This record gives sequence, C-alpha cells and structure tokens, in this order.
Amino acid sequence: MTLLNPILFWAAAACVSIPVLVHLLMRRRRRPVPWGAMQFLLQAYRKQRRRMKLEQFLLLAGRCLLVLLLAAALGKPVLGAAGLAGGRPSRTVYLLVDNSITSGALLDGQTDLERSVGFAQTLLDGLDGGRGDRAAVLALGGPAEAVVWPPSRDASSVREALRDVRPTDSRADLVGALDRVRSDLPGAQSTGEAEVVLLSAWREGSADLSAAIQALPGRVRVVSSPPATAEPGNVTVTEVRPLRSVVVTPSSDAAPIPVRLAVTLRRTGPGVSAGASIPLVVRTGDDGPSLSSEAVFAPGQAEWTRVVEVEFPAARAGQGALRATAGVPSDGLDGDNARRVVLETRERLRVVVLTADRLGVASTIDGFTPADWLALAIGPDADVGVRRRQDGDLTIETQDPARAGGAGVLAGADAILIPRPDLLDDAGWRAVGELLASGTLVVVFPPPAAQTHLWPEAMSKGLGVDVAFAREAAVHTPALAVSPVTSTRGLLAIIGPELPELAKPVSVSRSLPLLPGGSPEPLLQLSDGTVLLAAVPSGGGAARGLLVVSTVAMDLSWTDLPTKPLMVPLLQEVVRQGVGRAAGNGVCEAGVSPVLGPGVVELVRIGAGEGPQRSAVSQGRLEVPIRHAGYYTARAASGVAMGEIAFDPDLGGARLAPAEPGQLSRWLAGLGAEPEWIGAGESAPGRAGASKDPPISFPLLAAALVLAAAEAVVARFASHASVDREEPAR
Amino acid sequence: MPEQVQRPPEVDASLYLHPQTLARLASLELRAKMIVEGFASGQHRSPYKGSSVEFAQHRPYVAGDDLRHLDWKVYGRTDKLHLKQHQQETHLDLVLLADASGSMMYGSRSFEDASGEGVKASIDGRATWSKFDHATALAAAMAYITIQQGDRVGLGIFAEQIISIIRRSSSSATWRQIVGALATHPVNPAHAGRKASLVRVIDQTLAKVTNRCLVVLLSDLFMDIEEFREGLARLRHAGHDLIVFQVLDRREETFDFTDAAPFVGLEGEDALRVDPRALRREYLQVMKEHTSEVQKACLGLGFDYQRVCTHDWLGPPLAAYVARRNAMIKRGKFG
Repeated sequence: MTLLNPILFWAAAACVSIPVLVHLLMRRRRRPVPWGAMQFLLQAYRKQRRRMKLEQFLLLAGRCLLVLLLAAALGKPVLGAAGLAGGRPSRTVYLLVDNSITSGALLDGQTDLERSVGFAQTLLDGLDGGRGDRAAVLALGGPAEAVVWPPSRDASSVREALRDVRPTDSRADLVGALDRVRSDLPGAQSTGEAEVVLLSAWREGSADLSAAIQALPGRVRVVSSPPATAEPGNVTVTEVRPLRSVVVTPSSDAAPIPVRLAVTLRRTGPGVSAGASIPLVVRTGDDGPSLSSEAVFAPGQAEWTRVVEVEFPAARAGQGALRATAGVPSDGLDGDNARRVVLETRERLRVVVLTADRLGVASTIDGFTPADWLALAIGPDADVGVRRRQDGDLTIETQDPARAGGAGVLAGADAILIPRPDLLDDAGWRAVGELLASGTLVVVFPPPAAQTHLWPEAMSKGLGVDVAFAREAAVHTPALAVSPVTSTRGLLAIIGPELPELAKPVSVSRSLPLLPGGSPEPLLQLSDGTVLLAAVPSGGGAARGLLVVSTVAMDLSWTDLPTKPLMVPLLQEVVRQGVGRAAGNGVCEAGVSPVLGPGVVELVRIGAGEGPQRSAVSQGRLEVPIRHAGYYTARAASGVAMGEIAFDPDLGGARLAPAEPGQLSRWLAGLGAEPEWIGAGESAPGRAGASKDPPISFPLLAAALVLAAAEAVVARFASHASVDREEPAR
Repeated sequence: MPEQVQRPPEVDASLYLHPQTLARLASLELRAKMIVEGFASGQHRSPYKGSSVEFAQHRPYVAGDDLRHLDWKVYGRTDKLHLKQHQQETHLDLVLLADASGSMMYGSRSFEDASGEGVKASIDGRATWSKFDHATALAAAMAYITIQQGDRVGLGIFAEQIISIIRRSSSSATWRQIVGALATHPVNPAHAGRKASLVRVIDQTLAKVTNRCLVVLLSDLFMDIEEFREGLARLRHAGHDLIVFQVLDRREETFDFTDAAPFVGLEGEDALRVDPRALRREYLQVMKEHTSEVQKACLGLGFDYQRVCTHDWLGPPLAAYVARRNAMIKRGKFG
C-alpha cells in the first residue's frame, strides 16, 4: 500500500494506542469496592462473562479501528488501480527524454532537447503529488541514464533535474530506458495508472525504426511528442583517419612530425543543393598548431574527403600519443562538428621473427629460408647476416621458436612473424597468444616443408582465435595469379591503387586453404577466389591484437612472391598498419564501452568537458559510461598512463532526417498501446483538467464516521446506561 | 421507661426508629431505649399495658396443676375442673440470632450522612452505617421490649458458628449483657471472610434451648439457600417459631454503581473487575431470585419473613415482631 501522507498516517496510527492506554490507566486508578453480596455478583458475572468480554473486545477493536481509519484518512493510502481511498487513481509518468546527439539539433532557435524539456515541464504541471502522482525521468542518451529514479512525487526536484539534462554525443538508448520502465511498471500499475511519455524529435538517429520494439506489460498509456517536421542544415566531420595509426619517429629527431590525416565531411539538410565553403580546422594536441583549410562543396555534393598533413611539434615524439581534432563551425547540430583521433607514437617498431635458422647463411637464392625472405622484405637495405638488425624505424630480431614460451623472450615485440609455426610448442603459442591479446600483431605463414599441417590446431588453441586450415596443401597447376581485394580501410589501403600492378607477376603454385568459419578479412586472394592473406580479429572479444594469416609459405616452392616487387610493400604495410590496428586505433564512439586492455583501472578525462572526469574500469569494462566526446587517458593501478582513447560522437545516432510519422506510429504501437501524440497547441493530452485532491481521504473519513456512530451505539449498549434509569426490583 | 436523653418536645418519637437518629446515639443501650420509646409512643394503644393481668383462657385440669389456678366459678356451673390462665402467666422465650459474618460489615450509607450532625464515624472508627449496626439496633430494641414485658431473652452472635451466647433471662441485667455483647462483638475482621453456616448455628442453638422459643434471625442471609432451608427445617422440627429479618443495604438492593471498579468480597471472594452497569440487570435478577427463595422457604414452614433495609426506619420490623409475639400468646402456644 502506498501512502500519500505517510508521516501523518504513522503519527495518527500511533494514536491507536490511546484507547489501550486509557483503558490501562483507568484500570490502575480505580479503587477497589468492598462488597458484601459478592456471591450474587459472581453468579451474575458467570452468566454474563462471555457477553461482556465480547462487548469489551468489540468496543476496543472498534475504537482502535476508528483511530486507524482516521489515520488512514489523513494518510491517504492509494489502494489499487481504482484509487479506492483517494477518489481518482494516482498516475506514474515515465518521462523518457531524448538527450542523444540528435537532441542538440537546432531549429528555429530551439534545440530538440529544449523542446522536449518544455513538453516535460508542462506535463509536470498537470501532476498532483498530493494525489500520489509520480514522475520519473530517464535520459535516453546512450546508455540510458536514470535522472529521476525511482518515480518521485516531488515535482519541483523533477523540474530541476530536467533543467540539468544536456545533450550527449551518444545515440539514443530507447531499449535500455524501456527495459528500466518495464521493471518498474508492475509496481506502478498496482497503485494507479502508468504512462510512458516519449519526448523526442524522432529523427533517424533517435531510434532504429526497422527493429521491432518489445511491448510493455499490462495496461499502459503511451504518449509521444510528434516527430520533427524539418531537418536543419548540418555538416558532419564523419572521419579523421590517419593514414598510419602508429607514428614511428626517433626521439632524437628534432624535426616536426608530419602526420597525414584523411578528413571526410558530409553535408545534410536543405542546403546540400547549393554550393558551400566550410572552414575546416585541424588542431594538434591541446595547444598545438592548427591547420586551417576550406572544404569546398559543389552544388549537390554531400561528401568531401581530403588528406591533410599536419605537423606535430617534435617534442611530442616519444612522449605518448598524438591527438588531432578536426572541426567545422557551429551549424544545425554541434555535437558532430568535431572528430578526434589518437595516434600511437613509437621510436621504432620491434619485429621478432621466430625461426631456428640463422639469417643470411644461404649464398644462393634457392637456399633462402622463409625467415630470410621476411627479413629481407622488412629491412631490404640492411646487412644480410646480422642477427639483430636495426633498419631505420624497424628493428628485426630472431628468436628460436622452441624458446618462445620462455619468460620475457617475446616481451616488447610490436609484431611477431612466424614462418615456421610447426616449431612452436604449446607454451610458445600461449606466450604469443598473451602478446596478441595485449595488442601485438602476429603474422603466421605455413611451414614450407610440412606434408601434414597439424600446427593450426595448436595455434587456434594457443591464440584463442577461430581460424582453421586444411591439413594438406593444395597444389595449383598451373600456378594461380594473385588478385587484390579492393578496400579503402584494409591494411593494404595505402598501396591499394598500386596493388593490381604489383600483384600481376606473382604466381602461387601451392597453398594451404583456409577452411570456412570465423570472420577473416581477406587482404589478398588467389585468382580462384581462395584467400592468400587474411586479417583475423583477435578472439576473446578484445578489440586489441591482430592476427594475419597467410595461406602461402614464403618459399619459392610455394610461390614466387618473395622474389617479386610486391613482397616489400606488402610486408611493410602489413607490419606498419597491422601494428597500429593491433594496438587499437584509440578511437571509440561515445556511449559505447570499449574493451580495455588488462591492467587499465580507470579512464581520466584530458581537459575540461561534459561527462565524468574519471570512470573506473572493471574487468576491461567501464563502470561509468562515457556519453560525451573527448580525450581520455587509460591509467593503471600504479597511475602509469597506458595509452589514450578518443571518444567521438556517435554518427549513427546523429542522423537528422525526421522519421516518417506513419512509420513511427506503427513502430510505437509495438509497445502495446496506440501512441497518443502531444499536439502542437496542447501541452499534454488530458493534463489540463487535472484538479487537486483534498488533503484528506473523504471515503475513509466517511467510513470512520460510520464506525464512530456504530461504536457509539455499541458503547451505549455495552455500557448499559439504560439500566440506570430502571428501578431496581425490590 | 428511663429517660437517658432529653428530647425536644417537638420531635416525633418515631424519629428514633430512623437510622439517622440511631446513628447519633453512641450507646447501643440508649439506642435501644429510644427505639422502643419511639415505637411505643407511636401506637394508639399499648399492647403491653395491663396485659399481665388479663384473662387468657381456660384449660382442663390435669394432675399436678397448681390448685390455686382452678376457676371455682366454672366448677360450680359445670362440675368440671378448669384452670384459669392469665396473660401474665404466659412467658415468651426470645432467642435473638445476630449474624456477624463478613458480609454484614457492608454499609453504603456514611455515618456522617446518617447522623446529619457531623459525626463522621462510629465509636470503633467505621465511616459507614453497616448492616450489622442496623441488625444490632433492632436486636437490642426487641430485647428491651421483651424484657420490659417480663419475658426471657437470649442472644447468639454467629458467623460460621456461634461466637457469643447470652443465656435466656428476663432480668434487666441480662438486657445489659445482651447490649454489651452486641456492642462488643461487631463483625470481627478475624471472622470476615467467613460465610455464615446456618445449619451449624441452629444446631448449636438447639443444643442450648430445650423449650419452645421464638427465634429471631437477623442476617443478610447471603448463604446457600439449601443450607438455609435445612436450618429452618431443623427449627421447625424442634417446634420453635421463627421471625426472619433479612437485613440488606439499599445499595445491595439497587446495585446502582456506575463506574467500573474491582469489587472485593467481604467473605474471602476474589476481586472481580467489572462494569457494574453491565451486570446490574443480571445481579438484580439473581438477588431477587435469592430473596424470593428465602421468603418462600420461610413462609413454607410457617415462619415470618421481613426484609429490613438499613436506610429505612425500624418500625415495620418491630411491629412485625410484636404482632407475631401477640399472635403466639393468643394461640397459647407457650402456655
């Protein structure tokens, strides 16, 4: 039972003790009466005992109940949906306010969120806390956030909380908010009516109308604000993509670090048909130099991409990540006007080749081992025969596969090349797997001499990846050509335009086919469509780490690739881009919880901005979601920085085209009730007539009066006052 | 009749039969005299004046009779020997049995109210005019009348058994003994809490009394009705006559309490916390049944029954006594 005035109720209910106390006090005060004719009194008492006790019990119970009813009348309990004690049933209103990134859309001088909050404030005017009406506020900015929860009767605090709602940079999480409402609905429905009020401009980014929505339980009224009628003109920075996500630069180099970024802008809204020139500013770091540019859109042109080169100060090199932000001026939606990127910096990349052979021993080309070919491709101008070589920004070293499982053997490796996977034992695979999970690139080639390939099983188990090979190599007669996979985002995107030409002379006479399964990303294919080189995401759900598998051994008996011009750029791109991809690109969308590497205990915001300054990390997941864009530093328990992450606006939730009303209505009907629309000239349907309830429950008061009358009759009867008027029989 | 108190002439002598008057009199002896004076002066004709020389009846002579009482005139007319009996030659043995059980201690009228002159308590400190006070006043008055007539009076004060006994005698000293016994044997707290046992008392009385007597029982009769009947039957069997004065307090007859209170029995009963109004009807019914049974038992055996209220005057019970005595004398029952 819910009480509208619980304090009054309990205070009055405490008065139930008054009749009992009066009775006890009167008992103590009465002086005994000596009586001679006791035998007759006892006889009379024995005859009347039952009746008297019943009368006394009825009197006491009646008086206690009377006090209790008065207490209940003051307390105004809400009994059931019918509002038995309070006249009209109470209402519980769940205000689902869309404060996702689209809610910042500016139209006619007012944002969508301001409009929604206005609706909510007007609706709150129609609620009567004295009658038991309650309101909860859930902000939809993903993940949905409880602003006022559980539902509160205090309308003023709800209003204040609404005023503090700000647009996030994440997409709307209507499903999460409805789940929360769903958990509370049975309780609300047991005490009165429940209403779910959806306050959103219903733009494309607000909800995925193609996905069915789960119905709400029980009887519930669904009220919605109408969809927006217009789309504001808007320019979005859709992408800031470094051509290399890892910047390798020696710390001794005093020159500024040039970084090339591919920046993409997109125009939406009514202004697309006209030409436009949009100022573009790319800032480096917090206070670094900025690059100002101009994005010139032709009439009808919606998307604009340009590779810009920015220079970071030399002092930045070797001091952690580089941060770059591309931004456009304020427009119809400010939330998507900037996009951030974090670039890893390394002095050099450390590449470990797991081979038992010494490099550079062979004097003829036929004697080259796969490791020799790999070393040559990575450091073509290094001295052959040097076991540990430093070649520009790459360091190549070899380790014995049999010792790979030893402690610290592979530590610090950015990339591990495995030309002889058959030589790794289980401990070795486990060691490689740990590095893979922590963000290392692993490239595996089949061993050239093996007749039966059993190593893939050990590899899958050790690395925790879902990839399977055939047991035996397939011989291709005649040899197959190489067919590049067109991709603008793959590891080979930079050399993509040259790939077809470079691949032409390459032929493959033998390969170890990949078996179906998993989700490998093909990088190169054979002319028969089978995969030659594929990127396999790391298993275990971690976003870091990258496995690249080749179906062809780096041996001339399998392919002539090592001797062809493709070999060097192929290996260089796979290693340089792969290391960046494996380390994680350091970019995440707001509202999405990134998978963080082991050891990270919290994210600390860099600079000021909306959202929490710190967010603890538990088991690789954020405990407090980050809904606003910005840069964050990942910290270990010791306080050591473990990298930086940029949270960018969720562009999927920033689509501003208004939803089609009919489709939206059908979609909302999936909640289990036909939605009622808040009209343009109306604050909220049926709210204006809400009248205030009296401060006391009249039905209960009437019941108390009836009981009081009944009690008076019983008391008169039980007190036998009428007996006094009768003359005693003499 | 000795004058112990100077009465104002305007005061009606019958006032002395009212409890409030009696309550003013500290001495029971004085109280009794006043009662009788007041009672006698209220009669049109004193039933005692010259009664001792009045002819009563003739009866046939039997061997052993005193020849002085032969009526020679009757012998001369009829040749039969008859004895002439005179009233002064009849004598009445009055045995007073006063109940001193615990319940007789009850009295609802305050001494102060009864006296009307600021006497707040009896000599022994009681603040109420109890049933025993009323009974002893009545007993003393009856004893006084009886002795004035030359009859013998004896007294038994009892609770669960006879506590005190005064042998029958017609001497004025006996009257003083009786008065003294009644005054010095009030309801003793030691006897409080004990019920009167009439059968036992009757048995004890019968053991002392061999000739036929008029027994006057002064009690509230709060006892088992069967025991009461048994006691009366034994008296009837022994040939005695009996007048039963049931002395009750007005409040016992009306039970007009209004507030709930614990009622504590005077004869050892446990306290009972009740709302008296709730029980009044039933109590009065039970009381009525009991008195009715008592009356029925008395009348059934040919005994007189008179209810006496402590708030009423003593005229009716005394008149009842005198009427009964006269009736007995006329019947020659004791000749």
